[in-house]
Amino acid sequence: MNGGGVDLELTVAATAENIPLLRHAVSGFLDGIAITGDNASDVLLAVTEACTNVVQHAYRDHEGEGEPQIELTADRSDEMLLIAVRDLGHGFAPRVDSPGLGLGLPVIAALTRTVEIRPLSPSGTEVLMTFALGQD
Amino acid sequence: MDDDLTRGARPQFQQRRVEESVLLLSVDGELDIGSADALRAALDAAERESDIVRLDTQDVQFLDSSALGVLLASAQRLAARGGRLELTNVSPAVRRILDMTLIARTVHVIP
Repeated sequence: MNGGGVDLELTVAATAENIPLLRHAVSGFLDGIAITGDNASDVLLAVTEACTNVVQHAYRDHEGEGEPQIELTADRSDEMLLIAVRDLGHGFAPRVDSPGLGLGLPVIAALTRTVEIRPLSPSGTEVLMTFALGQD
Repeated sequence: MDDDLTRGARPQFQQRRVEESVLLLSVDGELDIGSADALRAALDAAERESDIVRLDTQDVQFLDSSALGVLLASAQRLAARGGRLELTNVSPAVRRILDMTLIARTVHVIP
């Protein structure tokens, strides 16, 4: 996927306070590879929604086995941006007491070219999002 | 945490009465899960003052579905007592997620 060797790798504690940190870091990355305007806004919203899902769902009832974390990687090819958001908890496990509107995944789906959610071994979930980099 | 990376993340709120029945709540910053509690508190305070709360989003640089949830809850509380939540000076970025989620059917957007 990485045709140009441009990468971003981030790992932060899975807390609400760190969501803007991740978003601003991705914003800086996008700026550095000249992704701006609506393209950048779409990526930042999708990344925020994916990371928010980790904070709200992935580590609920988490017990021990390491600090809850969010991992984010970004790779850019010629006309595509791939961003992966990973947790080591239990991903999108549904909860009846969800604090959100349940709009995170629909919003991600609307903003991305493709989105894939897959389990990690031995635990965790990866959300793989691709974005087409058209003209603003 | 790096100040540059968190700059703009903590929203600032200012409220002032603009009409007898309308309280204007101006927001400057980014609205997401990290600032949802602050947004909720600001709206709670505004709701105590007026049945019509007008949220000025001119200086909102970012808004996600977590913040939309807070807005929706406020709109529903106000509507239940005959009031309403209005959004004004909606930026293209905010407008986009409003349209995407159809929340504009519940929150009154002032062109």
